[in-house]
Amino acid sequence: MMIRWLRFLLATTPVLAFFSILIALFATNTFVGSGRQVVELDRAIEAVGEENVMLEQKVASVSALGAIEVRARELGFTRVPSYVSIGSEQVALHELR
Amino acid sequence: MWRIRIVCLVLILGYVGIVCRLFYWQVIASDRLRLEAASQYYIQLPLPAQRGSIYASDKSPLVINQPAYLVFASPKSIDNALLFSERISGVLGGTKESIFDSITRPGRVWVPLAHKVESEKADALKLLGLSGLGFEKEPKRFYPEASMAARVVGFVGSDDNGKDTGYFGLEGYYNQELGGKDGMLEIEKDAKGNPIAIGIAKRIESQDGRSLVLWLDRTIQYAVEQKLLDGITKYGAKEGSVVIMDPKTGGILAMASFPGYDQRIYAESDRALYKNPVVGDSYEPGSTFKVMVMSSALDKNVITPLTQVDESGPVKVGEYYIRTWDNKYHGTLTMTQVLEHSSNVGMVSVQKKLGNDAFIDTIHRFGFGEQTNVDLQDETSPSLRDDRDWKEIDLATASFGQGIAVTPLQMVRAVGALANDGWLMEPHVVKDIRDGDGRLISIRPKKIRQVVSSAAAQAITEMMVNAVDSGEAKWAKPKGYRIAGKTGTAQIPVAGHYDDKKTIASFVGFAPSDNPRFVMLVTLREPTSSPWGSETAAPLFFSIARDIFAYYGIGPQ
Repeated sequence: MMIRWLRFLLATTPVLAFFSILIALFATNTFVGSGRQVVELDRAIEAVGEENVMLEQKVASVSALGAIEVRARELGFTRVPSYVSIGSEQVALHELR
Repeated sequence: MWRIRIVCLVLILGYVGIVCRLFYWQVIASDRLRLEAASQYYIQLPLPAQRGSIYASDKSPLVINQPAYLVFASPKSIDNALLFSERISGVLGGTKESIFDSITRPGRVWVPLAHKVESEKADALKLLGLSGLGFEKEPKRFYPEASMAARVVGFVGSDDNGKDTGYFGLEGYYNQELGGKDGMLEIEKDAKGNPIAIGIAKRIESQDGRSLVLWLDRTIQYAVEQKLLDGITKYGAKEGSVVIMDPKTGGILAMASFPGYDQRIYAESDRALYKNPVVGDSYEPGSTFKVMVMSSALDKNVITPLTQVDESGPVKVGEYYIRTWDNKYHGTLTMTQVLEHSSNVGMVSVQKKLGNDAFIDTIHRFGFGEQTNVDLQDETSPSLRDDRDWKEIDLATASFGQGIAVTPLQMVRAVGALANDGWLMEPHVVKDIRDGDGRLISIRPKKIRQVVSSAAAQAITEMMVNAVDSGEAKWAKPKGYRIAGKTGTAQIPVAGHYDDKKTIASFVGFAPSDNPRFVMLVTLREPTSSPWGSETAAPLFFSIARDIFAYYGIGPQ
């Protein structure tokens, strides 16, 4: 029984070794080729990151107080020289139904 | 036989030669060879850290990064240097001759053409498709609110090694936190230079800079800058500054001074303008200093608001006579009226009641003569004379704020203590620091010491409210609000004497006096419409206060 097992192992080992080498070669070649894809993915991530930064910059620009004031003036709003404060007792909230 | 010996000798010499060569390669030249081999098998990519942003208290950005590039040329890869220079200068500006000269200089393999080139220009350059033209990321600062708070923020320039470095203000003070730490990626490459995915890789992650969230309220800052510019023009002042602090936390809500500079084009401005005068310049506070002396006398129980003093004429101190600011005398005055009329004669009396040692101690306890430790790079503190060097006349004049120098920030902090139950706070511009992972580190308000008792603080507050309601500046005060304040008009020392025509007009105060939300100091240097603080700085103070009341939704009582 033991001898049969040894013979089987001796017969299959070269075959296994051959296929292992084949798989290793295949995997290596596949992954080596994917280095380029990694570079492309990195570039895509970088581009999206840059786009985000630019969008953040645009949002910040249009929501700046100086920009809002310019837009407000364009819409016809003007700066009031004085304003009137109304005390809470003067607001007829209790009459609202 | 001799032939065999010669062969043996040659063989031995050959072995020795091989051993020596191996020793040279493995020991002496090993580091260089290892590096050369590594450069053939590995790519090293820098992973630059992003500089942190700066946000106002409402989290709106004051300073963020924008994409920009270092544009460089590799002369060896350029086909036609003349055409290259012509096309590059067409986009970047400058002369084609200077570009041509730099790329054709012998021995040059890498030539930087322009730093911090914005995306639009970089895209235009990329479209040219020129060989030998390269780009490297080099982000630059972007200021959405333009030059707002320029002297608070500071700017980013280059150090001796060309690395981005913060200068002045927050950029200078928090340079290390904002700058972060660059990382590096080392990875095996194939013959075409592409990384090998299953190869050996070593990655040191970059640590982005931390971001700062400020106490600074951009709405208040915006209003302050506009009002201050208007005020400087209206009153014909040479310079002006405003600083507003939350008295309970020490948080700086606004800080502005003009003339200033635009941090986007800082290199075009006079270097003298980089310094923030609110923390870096000193002035004689004049009558605004009286509230500190008076509060200390109240605290020591040597006076009460109703204590009377005789103001029937100038008071003699040594060989000098101290007069009132308008040379008018009111007879008997209460302490409340001393503040109301801003009586120098009355203050000399208060100083005498307080005593010399207690008076000098008052100056120290309110934090004059020491830095406030505000988180801005350019803070200075004018030094006080030694405690033993105070003469009688020095003590007398210091009681009404002449002959003593302070910074505007020291002054606002000291008055802030009166608005905070006597507690002196450490002023801070930064409220929170946010790291790259979004974790927030809050900077807790720091109490320094209690300079006067709560009762004394309340008493001086009432006296200051009366000084506003009945004093020289009452005409400008917004109706219906309780504002505690004091005007100041200090002469400017010039070459050992005071110039009668040049003054620093100021107003310091806090409001609403019952629950102070802000303490503010306005200073105007050499106003020409009027030299008095009551006619220049005070109306500007009230004008800004009106805007803050509206913004905070504080109605008149």
